[in-house]
Parts: sequence; C-alpha cells; structure tokens
Amino acid sequence: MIQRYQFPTRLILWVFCLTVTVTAQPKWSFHLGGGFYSPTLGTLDPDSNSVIPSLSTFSKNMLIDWGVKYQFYPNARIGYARSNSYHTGKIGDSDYVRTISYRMFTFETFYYPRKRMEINFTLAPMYNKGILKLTSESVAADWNTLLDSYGNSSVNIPTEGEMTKRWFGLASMVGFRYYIFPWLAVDGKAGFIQNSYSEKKWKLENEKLDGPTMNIKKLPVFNIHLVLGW
Amino acid sequence: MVKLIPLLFIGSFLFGFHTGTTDPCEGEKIQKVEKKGLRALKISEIPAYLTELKNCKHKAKVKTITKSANEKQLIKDAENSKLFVGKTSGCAYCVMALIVYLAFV
Repeated sequence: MIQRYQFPTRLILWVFCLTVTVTAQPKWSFHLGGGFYSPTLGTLDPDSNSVIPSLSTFSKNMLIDWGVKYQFYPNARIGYARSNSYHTGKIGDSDYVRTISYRMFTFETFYYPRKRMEINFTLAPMYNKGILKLTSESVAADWNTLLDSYGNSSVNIPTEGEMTKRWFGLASMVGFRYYIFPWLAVDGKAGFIQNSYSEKKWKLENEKLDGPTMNIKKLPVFNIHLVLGW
Repeated sequence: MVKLIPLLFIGSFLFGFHTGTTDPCEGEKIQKVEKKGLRALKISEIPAYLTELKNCKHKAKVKTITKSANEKQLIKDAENSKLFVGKTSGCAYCVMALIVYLAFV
C-alpha cells in the first residue's frame, strides 16, 4: 500500500525540482558570426574540376554561423547551431550554387573563472547537408508557342535542379566568451568537426547518384560569434 | 460650520484623486530590476523597461540605474556559474579528450 503511493510522490518531487531549476534560469541566447576552416573540397574545387566556377577564399574557407541556445542549468546549455559554406558562380548559362550546412545539436557546459569571462566546452552531434543547385532562365520555345496562342508575349521560364546529400558528424569545441553587457558577449571557439561523408548516394529528383569527392573527415575550425542573450 | 461640510466633502475628493503620474525613474520595471536583477524581467517586459528608462528625464540617473543593473547581473551570473564540478564538468573532460585525440592522432 505504501509502495503504491511512493511513486507519484517521488515523481511530483522530481517534477517540482526540475521545474524550479528550469524556471529559475531562463536564459535564451542567439548568436551570429563567422568561422574559418580549411576543407579539401576535391571535385568541388576548380583546381581539380574545370567545370566548377572559380572559388574565392570566402567560399572555400569561411563559414557563416547562427544559432539559438537555452541555458537549462547554471552551467549548461542546449541548442541548435548552423555553420554554412556557400559557393556561387556560373556553369555555362546556368547559375551554380553550392551550400554545405553543418547543423549542430549543441550541448555546452561552461563556467566563469572571473566576472565577465566564461570558458565553455561544446559537444555537438551533427546532421549535415550538402546542396548543389543549377538554375537557368531558358526561353522554352514550345512554351512560348503555346502561350502566344493564348495571346501572351514571350515568357522567360526558369528551370532548376537540386542535388542533395545528408550525413552525420560530431563537433567538439572549446571557447572563451567575454560579456560586454549581461545581454551582449563576444565568443570565440576552436575545435574539430568530424564528418562521415561519402560521395555515394547523392539525390537528384529521387535518383541516387555519385556526388563530389571531399575530404572533410577531420576539420579544425575557428569561430567568432556575437552573442545576444537574456 | 454646516456650510463648510460640502466644501470639505468636495475638497476631500479633489485631494484624494490619484493623478497616476508616478516618477518614471521609479517605474515598476526599474524597481523590479533593482530588487531582483536584470534577468528577473521576462523578454516581453523588456520594451516596458526600456520605455521607463527613456521616459526618465534625469539622464545621469538612467546611466546609474543601467550601470548598476548590468554590474549586479554580471556579478550574479559569475557567482551562479563559478563552480564547475560534478556532472557538468564531464562534458569538458570529454571535449578536451576528443580535441587532444583529434589533434595528435
């Protein structure tokens, strides 16, 4: 009889304790910034593939970062962060866009060695995505013939195709954050991104194809972010 | 004396009226921040807090209020998270071990 009542009491106590912890530290933060890394892009690099448009340092080595985090404990945060790498150009008459998104589900612990200064440690499982997109503004003669018959003038019809690939990864980083105000900070991080990327099984219109080779298995990464939080 | 009664009656009403003009420098949100800290405000309360600060005509006082609130909050945050023991430090050990492994292997 006593055991029957023990479970709900414990459950209520746990719920109470967790709720108190969660509501006592409500702290959301949003970050925006950039990163630097040096991947070996293989057949996505114009040096090894003449079809690919010229590549700038921004497209090869720079990342654009953003993310949201929630502090659920005095020393811990969870969140979602994203680092994107873009490359744009032309292949023939078509616009070419290559995007690599490193999507992280972050778990971060931290402490303050001094006022305003924070040292943080991040572990983040990743589910990354690569996209190759070609868009062309072609004049489809047959469409124009048909549309002319309805009294329309010639129309530019854009056509596009997208090739995608998803893969898993893991990020581990150490960072230093300096609080300018309680709600504004600058955060620098250094660490590694590990990827389980394979060029097999890229998807284009539900068809599985071979994609570009990239050596991104183990990448050192440096990030700098502006953090807004409450 | 009897004639004075209606006068006193009306007068008591006039003086009893609450004009509703509280000093914006002593506004509800400013007081909340002073008592409980900056993070006691919900995100939805921030515009009201900023409005109160904007309406406060004494700019020196505004500066003092914000500076004191920021400073108190920074101290409080540092105090809350200065210890790094137990389960939360486990993540740090994992990250450091992983980084060292990736750097040298």
